[in-house]
Amino acid sequence: MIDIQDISKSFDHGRVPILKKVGFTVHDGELVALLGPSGSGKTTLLRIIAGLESADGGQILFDGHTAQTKRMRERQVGFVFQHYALFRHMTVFNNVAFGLRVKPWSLRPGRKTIRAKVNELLELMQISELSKRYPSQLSGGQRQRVALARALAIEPKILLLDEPFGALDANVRQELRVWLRQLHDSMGLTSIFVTHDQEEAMDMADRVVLLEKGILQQIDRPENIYEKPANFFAYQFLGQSNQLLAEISGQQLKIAGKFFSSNQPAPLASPAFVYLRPYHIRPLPASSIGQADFTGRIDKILFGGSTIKLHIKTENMQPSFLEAEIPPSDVSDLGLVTGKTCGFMIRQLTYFTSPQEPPILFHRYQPAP
Amino acid sequence: MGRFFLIALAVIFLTILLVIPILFILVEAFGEGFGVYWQILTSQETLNATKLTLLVAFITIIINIIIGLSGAWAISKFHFRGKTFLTTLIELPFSISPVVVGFLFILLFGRNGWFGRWLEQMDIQIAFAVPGIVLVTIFVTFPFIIRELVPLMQEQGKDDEEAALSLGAKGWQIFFRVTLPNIKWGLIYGITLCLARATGEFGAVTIISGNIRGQTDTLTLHIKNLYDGYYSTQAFAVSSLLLLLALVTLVLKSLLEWSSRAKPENNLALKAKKS
Repeated sequence: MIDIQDISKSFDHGRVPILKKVGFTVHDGELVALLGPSGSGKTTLLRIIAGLESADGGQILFDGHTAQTKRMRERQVGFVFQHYALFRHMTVFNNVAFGLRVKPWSLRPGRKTIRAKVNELLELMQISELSKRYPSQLSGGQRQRVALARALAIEPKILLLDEPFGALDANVRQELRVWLRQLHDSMGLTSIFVTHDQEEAMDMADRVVLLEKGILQQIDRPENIYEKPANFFAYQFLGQSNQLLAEISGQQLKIAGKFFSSNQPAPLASPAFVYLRPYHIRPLPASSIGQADFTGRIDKILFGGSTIKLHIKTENMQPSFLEAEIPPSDVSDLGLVTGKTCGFMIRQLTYFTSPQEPPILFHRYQPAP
Repeated sequence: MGRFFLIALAVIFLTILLVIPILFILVEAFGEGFGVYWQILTSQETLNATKLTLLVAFITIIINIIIGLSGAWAISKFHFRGKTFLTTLIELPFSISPVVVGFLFILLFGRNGWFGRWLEQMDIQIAFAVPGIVLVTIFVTFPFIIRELVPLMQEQGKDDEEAALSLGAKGWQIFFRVTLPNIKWGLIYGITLCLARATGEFGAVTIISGNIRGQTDTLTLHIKNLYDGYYSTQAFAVSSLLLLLALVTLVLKSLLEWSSRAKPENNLALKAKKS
């Protein structure tokens, strides 16, 4: 268990605050993502946990024991660097063996034990055939595996990874994600990794720690962090959104003459900005355009892999531009054509009374006839 | 055609500036036969001068390695106030005439200098003695190693050291197993330059040494003395000794490079050094 308590850190003698009283707990066996934009302090926090950097305030407990007094080499923490930091003058084998060879005399395993251990790790990483190569002769994915093997050689209980897939091609990245998740589970590790890629965090982590400007914004399971953002930053960072002007009074919201309601009253605001995710816009078939809440002209249809983006110019909304996200099959099923008018519904609107507060959600409601 | 012209130009240039003078030294050195040549080289004065030159070069290189490594480490791996100033300061010895350096040290350590009286009381002789020669030689040569190391270490960053730390290595293990192999070639190159300059230094040494025959004569001073005394054959003979020293250094360096070129990681280090 890693207990991170009120960690504060600033650079340049307090002039540049990096972390402000960040605290959370990582349980044994968990895989936790530190997610945030660049400059949010996530890497600094990881380095503090590793002991590469010291905190100005707060403390870190490993299984209830304070870590500050321990030096880095006594912490039993494996660290994988963003650019791997492999020793370029050593072969893959010697890189992996390094942690074992620098152990104090009394704890250092014999030559044979070291060889067996390193070979076992190389096999686990599926890179046995590379043991005599030098880092400069490896691909990005292979270097990543060597870096992992090297970190795991000292049998750490905790594994820390700084942007583990940042320098890799998209397809290698996907493959390594799955593989790393399996490795984490099979070895019974407790892991924390840093990423700026929300998809990566959602894909791999048990829980996501969302950081912004050195402040902890939200810590939650991936599905919750997506569905129940803690504040405006969390909402914005975790996906695209459209912005619309609406009139709000109490539990009622009006947009282009249509009413939405929430189970929670909002303060009177008119006009106010509300937000909606592109996938909360649902186009209707051309035949049932009469039943649609809203209509607009399709400006563009962007084919981008697993989802399709529609650019819609609406008739009576402000601003008039909307981006919708639909499954590829919908384009032909619904008969959507560039330049034509289409009708659509909005499933959910999100309203923030203040940037720090959780949002109020509004859904379409049909007034009693 | 253009290529041929350029190569020819380079060959002619090198012949006039390097090959002919070197051949001239050898021809002149053996001008009175091998017997005389050998006699000059084994004379007490030459032996003393050789010993002194090698001693000064040795101390200088050791001290420059220590200054170079710690200085380059500080500049490249830490942030501190006045870093830019320090980096500029390192270049200073290159832009000051060695003669001025010699006078500077006399001014500081000579009998009437700033520390002269105090040194006399402590019975320490710096000016007109071996310590003075060592000091000015260090002053003149200390940029060589540090200048090679700073860009190399800056480029490599702290990542490797931190990785070693995270794997449990202690400070000295990190230095000898990670840092030193990474900067090996830069260091060797710096040492070669430093050695060449230390054995060849004349201006600063001639001022600070006081030119005491058989005591504070380095090889270069010895050559100048012989030449001034119209012993030109002798002067050339001793010059050939310095030449030999330079060649041995070069050959050693090439051998080292050649013997490790087979390994790919050294090729990489070499490339890093040259870029």
